[in-house]
Amino acid sequence: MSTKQAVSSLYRRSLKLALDWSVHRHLWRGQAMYIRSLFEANKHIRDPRQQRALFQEAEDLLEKWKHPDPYHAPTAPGGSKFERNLPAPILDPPPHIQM
Amino acid sequence: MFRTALLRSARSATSQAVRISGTIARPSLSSSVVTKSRFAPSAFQAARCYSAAAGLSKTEVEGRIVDLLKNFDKVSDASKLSPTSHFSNDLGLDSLDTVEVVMAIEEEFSIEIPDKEADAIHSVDKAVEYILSQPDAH
Repeated sequence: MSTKQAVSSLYRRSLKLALDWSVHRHLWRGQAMYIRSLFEANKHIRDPRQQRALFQEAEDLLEKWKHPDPYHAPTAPGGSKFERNLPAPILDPPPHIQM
Repeated sequence: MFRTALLRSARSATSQAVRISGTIARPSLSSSVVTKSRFAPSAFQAARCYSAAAGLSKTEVEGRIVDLLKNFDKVSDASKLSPTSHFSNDLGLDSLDTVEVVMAIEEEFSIEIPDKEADAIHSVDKAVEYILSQPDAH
């Protein structure tokens, strides 16, 4: 995984975590801008060792603030509507039996 | 006067009750004959239920995603917005902006995109393709 992918994965996970804690999007918007500013502040770091330290720090923060009951979309796995109203497996009536 | 009113209302009530019980009693006689043919599974599927998914057309999904990007203030050149434009090459968004756009698309269609598939969405047509493949998107 390249650094770019690692950073965008971290950014996505931090945004998701912030959304878990602040359920409403208008509250989340400010937090997202703050998270963005934190990522922008370390934009120009090229030293791999320093990058690794930053990744570790971000992972630790994500682990520390992990949400006990994260939000899932209703139809996503873990959501309240997941696999509701599945199609019936057999629709054909059983064959008629002559007694 | 009161007595006549009472009598009249009582009479009408009894006649209605009799009429209702008559209508209830009637189908119970013939129901054993009728129900089998009436409630075949094919007849039930003809009507769409209110809870059924309506489905999205491709043009609608494209229009909604393009509208979403039109309101995104970091898009450098709004004239390049088209159903085939690439987020970073055409619209000048960096990788973090792409993440934000994907989150906005998730909100717009109220679905949850797993991280792995979200990483693969880099252009409008990829996003449209993903949304159309999701039966839950609306």
